Amino acid sequence: MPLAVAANNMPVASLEWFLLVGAFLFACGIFTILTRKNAVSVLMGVELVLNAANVNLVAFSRFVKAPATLGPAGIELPKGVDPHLVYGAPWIGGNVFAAFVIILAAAEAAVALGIILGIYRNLGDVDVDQVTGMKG
Amino acid sequence: MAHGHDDHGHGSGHDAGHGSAAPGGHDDHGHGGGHDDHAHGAAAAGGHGGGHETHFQPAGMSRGLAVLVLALGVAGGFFSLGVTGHFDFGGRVIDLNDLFDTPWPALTVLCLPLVAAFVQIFVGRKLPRRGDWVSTGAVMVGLAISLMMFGRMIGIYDWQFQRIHEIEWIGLFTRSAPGQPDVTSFRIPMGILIDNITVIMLVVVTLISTLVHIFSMGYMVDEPRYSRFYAFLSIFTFSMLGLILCHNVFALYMFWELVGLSSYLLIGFWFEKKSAADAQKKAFLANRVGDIGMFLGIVTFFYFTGQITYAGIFKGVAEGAFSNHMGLLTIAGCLLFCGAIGKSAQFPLHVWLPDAMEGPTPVSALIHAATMVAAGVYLVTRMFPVFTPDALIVVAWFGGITAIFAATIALCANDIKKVLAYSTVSQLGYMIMGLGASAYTNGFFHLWTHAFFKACLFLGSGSVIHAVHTQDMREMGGLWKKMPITFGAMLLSTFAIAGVPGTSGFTSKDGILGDLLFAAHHHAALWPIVVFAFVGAGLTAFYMFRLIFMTFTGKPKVQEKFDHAHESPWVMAAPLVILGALAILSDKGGWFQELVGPPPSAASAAIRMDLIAHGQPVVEEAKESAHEGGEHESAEAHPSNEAASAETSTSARRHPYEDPLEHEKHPAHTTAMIISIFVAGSGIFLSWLTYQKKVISAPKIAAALPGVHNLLLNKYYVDEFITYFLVQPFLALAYGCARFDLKVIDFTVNAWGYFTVLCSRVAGLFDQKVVDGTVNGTADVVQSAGTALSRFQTGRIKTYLAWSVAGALLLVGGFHLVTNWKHVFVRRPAAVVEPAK
Amino acid sequence: MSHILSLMTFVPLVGAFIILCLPNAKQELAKCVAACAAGVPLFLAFFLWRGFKTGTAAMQFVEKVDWIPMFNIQYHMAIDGISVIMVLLTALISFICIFASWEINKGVKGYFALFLLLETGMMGVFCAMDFFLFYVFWEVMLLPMYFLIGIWGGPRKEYAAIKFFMYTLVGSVLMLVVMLVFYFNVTDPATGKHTFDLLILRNQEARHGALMLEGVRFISFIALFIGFAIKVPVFPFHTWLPDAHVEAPTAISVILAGILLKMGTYGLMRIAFPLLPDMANQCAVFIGVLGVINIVYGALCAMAQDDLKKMVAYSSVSHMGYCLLGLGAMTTAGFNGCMMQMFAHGLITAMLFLCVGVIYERVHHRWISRFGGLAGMVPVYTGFVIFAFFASLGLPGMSGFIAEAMCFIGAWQNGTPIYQKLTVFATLGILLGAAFHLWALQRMFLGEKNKIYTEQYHHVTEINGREIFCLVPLAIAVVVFGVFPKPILDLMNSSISELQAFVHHYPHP
Repeated sequence: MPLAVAANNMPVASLEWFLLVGAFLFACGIFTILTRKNAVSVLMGVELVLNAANVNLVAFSRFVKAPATLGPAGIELPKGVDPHLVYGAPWIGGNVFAAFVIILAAAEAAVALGIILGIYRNLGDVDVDQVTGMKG
Repeated sequence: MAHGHDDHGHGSGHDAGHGSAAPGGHDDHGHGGGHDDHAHGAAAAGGHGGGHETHFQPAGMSRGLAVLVLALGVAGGFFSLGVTGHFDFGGRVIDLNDLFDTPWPALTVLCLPLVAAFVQIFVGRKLPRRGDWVSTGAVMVGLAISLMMFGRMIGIYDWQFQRIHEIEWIGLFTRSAPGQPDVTSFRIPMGILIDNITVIMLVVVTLISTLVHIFSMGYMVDEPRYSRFYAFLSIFTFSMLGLILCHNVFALYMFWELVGLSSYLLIGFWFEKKSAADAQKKAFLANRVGDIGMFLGIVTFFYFTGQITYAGIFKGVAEGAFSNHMGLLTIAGCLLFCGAIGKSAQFPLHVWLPDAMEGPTPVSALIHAATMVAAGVYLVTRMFPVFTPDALIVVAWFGGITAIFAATIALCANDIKKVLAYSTVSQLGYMIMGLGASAYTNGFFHLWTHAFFKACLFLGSGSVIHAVHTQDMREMGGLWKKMPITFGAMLLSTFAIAGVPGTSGFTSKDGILGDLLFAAHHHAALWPIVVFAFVGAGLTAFYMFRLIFMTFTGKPKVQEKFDHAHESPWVMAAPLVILGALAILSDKGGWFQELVGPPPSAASAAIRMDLIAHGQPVVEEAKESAHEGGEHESAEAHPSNEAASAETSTSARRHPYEDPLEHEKHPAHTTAMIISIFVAGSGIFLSWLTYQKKVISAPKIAAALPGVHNLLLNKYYVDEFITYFLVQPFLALAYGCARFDLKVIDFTVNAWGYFTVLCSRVAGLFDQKVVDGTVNGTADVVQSAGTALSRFQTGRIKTYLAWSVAGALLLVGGFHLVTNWKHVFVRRPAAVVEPAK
Repeated sequence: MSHILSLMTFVPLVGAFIILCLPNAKQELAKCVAACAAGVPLFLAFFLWRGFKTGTAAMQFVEKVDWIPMFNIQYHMAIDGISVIMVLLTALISFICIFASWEINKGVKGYFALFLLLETGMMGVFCAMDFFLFYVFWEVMLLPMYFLIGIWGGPRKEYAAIKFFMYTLVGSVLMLVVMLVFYFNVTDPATGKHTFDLLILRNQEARHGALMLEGVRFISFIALFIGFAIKVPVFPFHTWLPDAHVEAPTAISVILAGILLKMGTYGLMRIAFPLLPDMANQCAVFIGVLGVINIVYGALCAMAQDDLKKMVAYSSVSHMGYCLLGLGAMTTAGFNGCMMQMFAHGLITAMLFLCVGVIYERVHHRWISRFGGLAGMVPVYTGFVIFAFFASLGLPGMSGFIAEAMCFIGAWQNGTPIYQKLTVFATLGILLGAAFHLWALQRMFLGEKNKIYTEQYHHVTEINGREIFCLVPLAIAVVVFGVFPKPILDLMNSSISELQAFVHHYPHP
């Protein structure tokens, strides 16, 4: 797969590569979630999925330029600001999201581990297949 | 006859004292009158014969005789008072002319019986003697006033005498256009007409009514509904008096129906008997049939002339109200005559009268012999001017057929009252026939004489029935010994009805027959009627003497009944005596001929001229001139009346009517007299041979002619004919209509109802199954879908995830494929990478 | 005195409210209140009669206020010679009927309240001179009748009540349609607004639009005629009548026959004829023919009945035929005869139904063929029945005869041959009327007692004072107005001659 060619004809890694990595990570995470019985393993799979998303976010942040009327943060520019002044500026929204996701993942892990502990306390096991309380 | 000669003897004058003075004359001489002698003798005989009978007391009889003489004296007094025209009342002279120019005497006569009826109905039973004196007294006062009026009539002696008192009764307005003033369009006055005909009828009605009231005191005394009987009698007397006093056809019709009502009530007096209840209904309905015709006739006259009074109608007709519709005038006359057919029991509506004999016998005498049934004759007499020659021919034919038809039936009847009933029908036929043949005066005269002798016969039969408690003549016989007074009175009356010379019946019937013969010379259509009339006269003599022979002579057929027979008490005997005497004495027709002149209308006179003798200018002129006065008087009733009365009271001028045709009629009358004496004599002789000497055997004749005998026994099957061809079809029609109403009309209505209900059911089903079904179906689908889908919710989080992933893949892949299938394999330009610019 | 009509109309309504407020136990009090509430209109009716000016066709005792101004509907009460007769009759019959229903013991309060409401409706119908008001009263009258039959009636009361209701409602709907046709096509010349005022509606100049079309007028007339014909009732719309009469309690039968039927003919005279005179003239013969059919057919049906009440009901059909014949005649005498017949029949049929009620209350059946020989047992009652029957069969001296005779004479006076033929046919009704009355009289009262149904005779008792009290005023009125019809004829004559002139001489110059 050819890499993207920069303006100066230097091959650079294009967006697709990053997305492929993200997809791979995502697939691994899903696979883990679906196949593992142990809740902790599932949690690990979840982490993989989250990070796959992070990869994507960061990659998009790098490659996707903001529209003409939007500022670097994707926020509509105030009146009077020349869009040309900010044209071509990197869009950092994805990076910010990734940072949030990381924080979120940490918090989520804490909560999830708490739930797992609760499950364990109730069922004496952490096998997620046996947790069917929400069956319709 | 002794009585006749006697009366002739003291009747010195020609007019006033002569014919009319039967009661009055005897008053003067006490017991000088022939019939009083007779009564004496009869009373004595009765006393001997019935001494051992419980009901019969000689003392009572002599007391009765005293009362009788007293009553005759009082009656004569009233009469002579009337003749004199004024009386001294404590120094105050009261002029009867003035009194009788007011309506009050007539109104008193009319209303007293009505008051009496009310008294009887409400308090009758509580009064002493159960109140019979109330009714009797009321009608007696009426008789007294009537006799005074009668005397006044004789005193004035004017054939054109006429008094009219009228008030407005109904007056309706019409407008020619909205907002225009009212125009009287419909006016029915009520009023009293007093002329000679009225006065004669007043005397007939009040006299016979009084006698019947007195007779009933004996005849009905055991009756629990005694006071009600008198109430009904009073109602009848009131209605009958109203009928003859009113001055217009509308009121005539009203009272006409009211006498029908009283007849209805009295026929069904013993309503517990089914036959009586049937008879009363039949009488009313048969009369109604006639009344319908009469009503239509009245309406026709009212429509064409705009008048409802007699005088107004005559005037209208005379002035040519019908001039473009002469045929209609004939029809209207015939329609009017329908009333007479019903009321006077003419063929074919005669069927009610024989059945009406179910009523008490005094009622039969009063209503169904003397007065009410004569109302038809009175009607034709009154309305005579409007009958066209053709209508009169119709009238004559109806009368003639009835006369002979009923006479033949009477030949075979064995019920004493049925014989009399058919003889009444037959005699009424004679009157009608006479009127139809323009024997105006004689037809009406026969009403007058017939009233007395037929009432006498009926009361006599009542007396017989009272004695033997049967009506079947085959169970009687030899009664003359037991009941001499009854026998004597009935024999006299039978002489009269059979037409024995010297009796009243002879005079009047001979008058009719003579006029008929005279008219037949000018109208060939009347010849069959002449034959009917003479044959009928013979038959009448035959069957009436058959009655006498079977009842009074020969040997008693049923000894037991004979033994219990007795002469009736004086209250019953006295009326018989009076009527029996009148049957002989009322034959003095001179005053009658002179006072009942031709009907007061010039036009009708002209019409009748056409009938009687066209081409006799002398006669016509005489009639015309005779009529100018009458017409003038009817045109302006009041002023001329006053003038006339003033004139008569001062100068006592006499206006006898002289029949201008008398000379022309004379040969006819002579012929008629000879023939009628012959037929009557042979009738009596044959009857004597058959029923007294038994030379001729009636059963053998009957056996020889079984068909005829059966026909007569069954009264020509007229009843059956009416039952099968009129009553039954109408009943069938009625039931048919009721079924139609129920099965067709009501069915249609109900069918609509059911159809509506059906529609609503269908709509209901649609609503339930389709409209509501959709709503419920949606819920059902959602629910079942939910149930089905809930199986995906395993509760395992991994399953969800797996489905989510699969779904996401599917969505993304599928979406991508659908939207961009062309570009799936095409690498997109890096539009997002590089700015569009 | 100026509000006498309103008083006569609404005092019964007030009475009805008072009765509803009484406690259930006080039944006698409720009856007394009802008697008073019905007595007031009767009392006022006397003054109405005294105060009524004869000789003029103008409206009298007029009350006129705006009621629903948006649609120009007015509370317009007034009477003329046509109404006054019916108002008097209503007041009298209603008062008597209170006493005729004195023995009611089921739902007393409801009965008398509904009865008084009914009286309000009837009075209103006869007084209203605004078409809308007329319609309202017409419907007001309908509803209590439905309940009075449906609750207090005989065995088939539900059927009879619904039949009566549906029939009348069909008539009402037809009337409603015509009412709207007139409303939208008539403008009051004075105000320029649409109006329901009957006196303006008859004004030919005020009309425009659809009413100018002959077809519309014809259909309107037919609709109005059917609407009122149902009420009369005219053959073939008459079958509600026998059922309703037979099932209704005695007093309600009296009201039905005595007053409600008259609303049909009254409506024809008040609304159909003056509003559409040209069509009335065209349909006159048709009305006359229907009248004759009614007379003869009703009498024949009556003859075939074994139920006494049904017989009387059919006799009403027959007698209302005389009204139609008089109306169809288009003559003054005919119109007066119609009006007189309405009045006379109101009195006579009330007597008949009261008499039927008397025997029904005692033996609880009305089969003519099961009776016999009653005359010997109950002579006074028999006397009343004979009186009523003879009045009904048109005996002279009673008001029915005057009416019938005037209808016949009126029809004859029309002058065209068809009317004379009609009159001849109609006179058959006199005979048939006599026949069925006398036949029934014989089967019930004369002859011997019935051999099979002997049990009933234990219950036959003489007519009591209350019943006599109900019958006597009617009997007196029947005789008085039969002997002196002038007072009644004078009341109506002017209005009727005006109406006759208006209708018969239309279009007038």
